[in-house]
Amino acid sequence: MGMRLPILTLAVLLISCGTPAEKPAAGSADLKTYLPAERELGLWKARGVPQEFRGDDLYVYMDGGAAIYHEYGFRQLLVQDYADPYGRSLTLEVFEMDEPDAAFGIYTFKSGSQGKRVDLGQEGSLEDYYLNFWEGRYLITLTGFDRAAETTQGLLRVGRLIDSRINWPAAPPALVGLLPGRDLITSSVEYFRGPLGLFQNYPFTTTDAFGIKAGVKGDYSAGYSFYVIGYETPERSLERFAAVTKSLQEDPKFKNFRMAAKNTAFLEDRQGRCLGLRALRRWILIVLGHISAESAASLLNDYETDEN
Amino acid sequence: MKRREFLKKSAVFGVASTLGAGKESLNRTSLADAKGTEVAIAHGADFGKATEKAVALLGTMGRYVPKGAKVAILPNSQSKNPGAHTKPEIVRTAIRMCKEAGAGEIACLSWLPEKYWEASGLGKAVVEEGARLRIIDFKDESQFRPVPLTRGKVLKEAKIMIPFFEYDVFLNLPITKDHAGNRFTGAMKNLMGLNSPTVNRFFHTGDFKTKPDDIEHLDQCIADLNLALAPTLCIVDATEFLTTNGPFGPGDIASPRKIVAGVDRVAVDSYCTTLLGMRGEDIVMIKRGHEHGLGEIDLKKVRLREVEA
Repeated sequence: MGMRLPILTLAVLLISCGTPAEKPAAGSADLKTYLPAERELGLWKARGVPQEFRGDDLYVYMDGGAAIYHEYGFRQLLVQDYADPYGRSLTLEVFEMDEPDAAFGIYTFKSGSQGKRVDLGQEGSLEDYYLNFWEGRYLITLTGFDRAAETTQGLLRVGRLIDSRINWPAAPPALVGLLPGRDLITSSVEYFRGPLGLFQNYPFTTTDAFGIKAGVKGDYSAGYSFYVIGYETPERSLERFAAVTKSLQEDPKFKNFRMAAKNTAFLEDRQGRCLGLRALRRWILIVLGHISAESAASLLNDYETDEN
Repeated sequence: MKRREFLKKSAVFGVASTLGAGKESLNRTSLADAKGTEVAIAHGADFGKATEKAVALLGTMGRYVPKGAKVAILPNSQSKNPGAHTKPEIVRTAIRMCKEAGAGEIACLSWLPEKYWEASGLGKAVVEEGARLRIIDFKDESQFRPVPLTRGKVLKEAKIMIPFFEYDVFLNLPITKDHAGNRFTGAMKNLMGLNSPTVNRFFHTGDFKTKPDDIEHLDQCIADLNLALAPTLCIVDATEFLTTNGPFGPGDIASPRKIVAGVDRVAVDSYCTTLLGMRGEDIVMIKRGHEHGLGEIDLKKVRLREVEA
């Protein structure tokens, strides 16, 4: 199947792992220090005062939308609106997450695969009216409210100013390096830290049969997706594999379920896509796409061979 | 038909209907639904006109709003981001149609702070159209009335904002969009906007953290809440909406430019899932709503009518 992505070395960071609370968690930054000075903004001016939300207060800001941030590991958020003299506006959101893995994960969750890569933070993506980038344990989201070139320039200008103030190199989680490298569409990589993120990507099950704490998905130019779900031990992986296959077998939206081995199963979804699953050491591997079961089996076998 | 008589008949039909929510419901369902499940769709670039056309396919607004009736309207004003809130022109049109039907007081109800209404442009629209914007303090639990849910499977008690009980007619005006919790939001989920946010947090698990059964739990809670509240009519903004990063955004946006109207919120939601490339059966909330007897999930059993606006 080809070489894995290089496993990037994680930055060694001392990060407090206190639970989200209404007071700033130990080690949390004063996010206002990242805001650009007025003289740097050109025609853009801050509108109103910055709003801050910590821990569960995120529900006040975005109601049910907060759940996915908490799943990844949320600490605090700063929101600042800007306006120019021509009536254009944009909103800056600085999310401080628990650790860089969390910031990378929510970045991959929020970034569309069609976005244009921009040189901001560790990685940035500019969509038609908004941009996201991540750096250290921060996710920056800038939203414009029209598609005018001037607004896009405003997004980039504010983004660069924030970027210049956050100097925190970090690398994607090591699990990302376990995706097969050949034919991977790099912009499609998505990192999960819980059932909501995985469910949004593909509704394998409405319960947390996976018991997922960390997982990654990539799309491939040959038309399939490859998932690697990580576990603490091989025993845990096998246990969860049994729970997942039981759930899939009982779900009427899947058909043609068959166990090919104790650790390998194949089935088909309503759209005619093949799912191949295998418990391998500390992982559950999944191949999903409009490919034959034989092709899915071949991809899983190649992966196992490479690992050996 | 006089207003009192109309409302009396409405209540009788609402409780008797197989699509009704049952005796525990604060039922505002009108008799207009008694002849079966209809979903009306109008599409076009003029969203106000499309709103008028969608309601016209069902009859007239007067079919739902008797003369002199007090009308509560619930738009989605959660986020100012594109594709994340009900468009002001749709709310404006609904208010005008209610007025034309001879409604008495018309009010948009909310526990979201006024700044959300300002940011989305909805506050201005409501005031300019001569309706009231009634906002209560979401932190003040005394402003919510407990409503027991004897048929609720997970949620045993809703807490509905007290001003709601002053109104005769309930127009549910959500936007349909992606949701990071259960992949879909629309008519059924919008009712969380009348329920205490403290109770709503329980929907996202009791201790506000992710738990193994999160998705089932959230969806069952929403279906249970719908036992307490039955809209007279749903008018759904499916013009431009988030298909990723919902419910708050920003995210990818689809633009079917449709207004979807109907009394049966399960059928309306089931139709709207198709605009996001899914089916009603794909969303646990809609399945649970159907299992509660709140409406029809199978679109083959629904009279779907579509018109160009």
